[in-house]
Amino acid sequence: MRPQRLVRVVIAAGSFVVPKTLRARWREEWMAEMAHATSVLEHRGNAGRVLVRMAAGSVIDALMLRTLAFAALLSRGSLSRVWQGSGRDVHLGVRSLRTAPGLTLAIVGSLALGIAASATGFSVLQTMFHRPFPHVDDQSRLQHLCVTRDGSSCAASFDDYSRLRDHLDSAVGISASYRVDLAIKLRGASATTAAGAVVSADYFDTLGVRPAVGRFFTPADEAAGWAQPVAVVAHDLWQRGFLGEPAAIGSVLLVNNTAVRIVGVAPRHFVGVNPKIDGYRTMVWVPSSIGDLALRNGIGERVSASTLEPSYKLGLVARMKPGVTPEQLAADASSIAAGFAPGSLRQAPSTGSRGVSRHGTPSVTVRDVFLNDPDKSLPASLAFTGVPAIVLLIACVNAALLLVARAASRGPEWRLRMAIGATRWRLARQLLVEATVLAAASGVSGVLAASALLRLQGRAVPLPLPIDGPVLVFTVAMVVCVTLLFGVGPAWTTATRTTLASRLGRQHARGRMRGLLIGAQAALCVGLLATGAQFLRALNVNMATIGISDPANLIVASFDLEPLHYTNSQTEAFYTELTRRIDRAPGVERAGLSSSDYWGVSTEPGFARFFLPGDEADTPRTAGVSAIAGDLLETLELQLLKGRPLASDNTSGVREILVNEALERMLPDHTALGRTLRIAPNQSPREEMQAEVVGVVAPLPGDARSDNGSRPHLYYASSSTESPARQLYIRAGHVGQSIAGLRRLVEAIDDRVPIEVTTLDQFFATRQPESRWIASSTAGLGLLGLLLTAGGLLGVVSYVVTLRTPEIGVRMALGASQRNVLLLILRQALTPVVVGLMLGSAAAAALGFVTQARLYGSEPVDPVALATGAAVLLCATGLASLIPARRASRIQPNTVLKDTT
Amino acid sequence: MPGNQPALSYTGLFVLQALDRGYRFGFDIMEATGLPSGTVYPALRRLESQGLVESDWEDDSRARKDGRPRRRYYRCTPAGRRRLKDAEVRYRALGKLFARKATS
Repeated sequence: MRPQRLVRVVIAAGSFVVPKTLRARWREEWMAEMAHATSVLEHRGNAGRVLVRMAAGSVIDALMLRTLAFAALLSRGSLSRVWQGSGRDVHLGVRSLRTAPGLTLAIVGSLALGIAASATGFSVLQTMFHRPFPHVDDQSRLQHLCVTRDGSSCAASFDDYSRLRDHLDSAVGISASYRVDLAIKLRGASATTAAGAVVSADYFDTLGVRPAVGRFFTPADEAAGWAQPVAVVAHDLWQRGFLGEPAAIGSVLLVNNTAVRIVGVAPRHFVGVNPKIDGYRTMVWVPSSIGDLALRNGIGERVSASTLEPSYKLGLVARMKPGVTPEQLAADASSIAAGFAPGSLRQAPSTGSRGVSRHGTPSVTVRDVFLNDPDKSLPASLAFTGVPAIVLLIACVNAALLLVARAASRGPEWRLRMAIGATRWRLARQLLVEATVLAAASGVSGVLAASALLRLQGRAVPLPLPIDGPVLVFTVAMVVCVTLLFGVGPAWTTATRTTLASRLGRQHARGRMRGLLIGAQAALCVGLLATGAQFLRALNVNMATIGISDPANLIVASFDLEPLHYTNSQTEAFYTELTRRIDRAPGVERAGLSSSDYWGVSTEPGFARFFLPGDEADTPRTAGVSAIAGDLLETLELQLLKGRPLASDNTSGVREILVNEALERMLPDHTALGRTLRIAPNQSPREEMQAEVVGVVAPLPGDARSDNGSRPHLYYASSSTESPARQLYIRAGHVGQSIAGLRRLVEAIDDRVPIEVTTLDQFFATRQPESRWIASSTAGLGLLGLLLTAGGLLGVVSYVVTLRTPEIGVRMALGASQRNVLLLILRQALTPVVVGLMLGSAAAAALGFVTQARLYGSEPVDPVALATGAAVLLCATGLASLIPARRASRIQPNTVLKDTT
Repeated sequence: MPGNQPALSYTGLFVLQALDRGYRFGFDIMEATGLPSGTVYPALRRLESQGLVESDWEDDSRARKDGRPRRRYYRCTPAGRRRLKDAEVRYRALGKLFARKATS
């Protein structure tokens, strides 16, 4: 833009700041100044720059005029009085709060905690539903493309991607990524499994992500393929594996037993644009030209990206050209997709229901790129903002209680001010200003506390959780609400009750407002406690029903040799060696190997089809299937009910199987021993086999996948399967020793094999991290609410006892016993708590029924959780009231009466 | 200096001095003082609101004759001149005070 034009634009923009009455003259003056400056400067070298800088000064000039106009407005009429009065109020308020530092700290502390909890919840909600993926450029222009051939499931091939990339004119770029599990090994470190992605070369460019170190893939990488295999690693892996050293670029990483060279590091927090990021965080990206490193077909054979069948795992993301709408993109993509081969949908290994190949005309639908669908954010919004909002409400009620109490003690001050001319409105305004000062201080403290809380939460959520503009706006809105919520009540009480006629020194010892506030606090608190208790109960119920003895000493080690491209004989050799040597490992008491992951520690369990005599070939029955070895039955406390265990050296030529009771019940006469079944393992290319039932076992304790043993399951010796993924279960005397010994053993047998180790109780304690996080946060907030309620009640009852000291003295002088006084104070303190508790419980139960009807997955309020919450609240508030009540009962009547007279 | 008058800043002093020496136009004051536009014009507004500076617009016909927008000219008021003299005396005394302290 030319300088003269820019100057005009700046002055025009600045003129909008100038008060309307001065605007035309101001603009005229500045245009004259600029014309004069142009004529003076035209012979100088840098005239354009000087003119633009001079024009920038016009904006400051405009702001000055606006400020002067505002000051002039304030200096005349009623507005001036309000402004100056408010200034005095703020001054008085701060002075007054400084005289009661304990009360000020209690109010600011409780409100700050409530605000911090709400701001933290809001920031998490923003990240989960509304913030764009970290480092992704202009996410609003990105769209997921869903190629459908059957009208419902999304499944595309790399060939589909290539055609769309070459012909889709409404997109600037399209990327493809295919999620895979990889076995990775860095030099000098143990092998581990990691989530990976096979991506098109333009993947990062399409998303607009820039590398933290090195570079991303180029068309040259795609063309070079296996001649020069390369990979990009996630920031997290770079930090862990290379301590953040730039020298990582160019070093070799072993991916699925293949050496690839690291060319770049993704920026921090970027782990792909997959939905539900907590469950799938990409650590390694490889270009599709070396995709056969990780891609498999339906029967586990390696395939290249170009020959891979359409798969639901292939994610296509397009960046729309400016001005193009998602509908246009979908229409253009569909017209191209109409030329795709109809193809067939391969069964995805982990989805049991989409096994049938379907055919249809391909079409394309689009949807926004997001972590979680914002349209489905209601339940999370309730959890992340509703629960902290209740804590904030409790804190507000607490602050209101303390202010009401304090306002009553300031009666003489109010009457004095009224006597010298202050109106009721003036007194109420004073209290409101004090409330605003408190709320503002709480807001600042709350933001600081939220920042610390978010840093803590950052360890649980692999995403940035900043305090940004929306969070600050939310916090300011909360501060305003807080001011209204806890400031208006005391202000109203003071304005309506304070009169010149009221006797000096008379106090409001039995405030209705106070009872109301305590009741409200109790109601909110019981709801919060019940919700927290319910969440924790729901999470821990699985742990309680495992039923297996000492889960802390049951080690579950998961192996997957599939990514390593091992042959069947290599796989069997590894597992045979592992089974042979594991018993001698330190700390190991018993160990057994199984192809089934009974509690879903790492993979889905396997299934087999079996046929009874007389069954039609196309109507098989299905059962869970485990290929086992070693002392699995003893290790998992799997009781043999009938028959004998599998023979360790079966040379008869007939395969032997064990069945559980559920399978036995499906057989004629409910007898299984000695029967021969036809079995076809679902994911094995092996032919059907005949197997004889040699024993019947009890249901596996707490097997969540088989509905407590009600689903049929069969076990056979591991040599009769080729499953490359297996679980090793170890009953350990010393867990730490056994895990270390196991790792050493695996490295000694084959250091390329990745291993994941956990104990059963640790697995249950750490699974569902998101739900666990919400549950523990809610329970924590419930406890916080309880502390606030109890603390508030303690303060208020103490205050009431102080007010009623003369009255108690008179009562005791007239014959009231210590017990009478104790009960009097306790009754009056706890009555509103009990009423609030009953109302709160009823409201929580009603809300539970309503949310159950409206929200998928929500449960009605658990009576045990509700009763627990109510009992805890009653105990805490009872204890809080007992302290001042005991003090009241020890009042000496003669001392009090002497002081009063 | 009267007690209810706000203190005169260095910027205000420079601008008043420039006006007293005959620079009447905003850009000329910038050139004379070396201050940027974002300082000179706000200072002029402030001084005008304090009654130390006054302004008037040039004749419309003259501006039209030269084919340019009308100019606004500033000048010191008598009060402005008094404040300027007071300030100059004060700053001079201050300079001497510091000079004495430095040599003693």
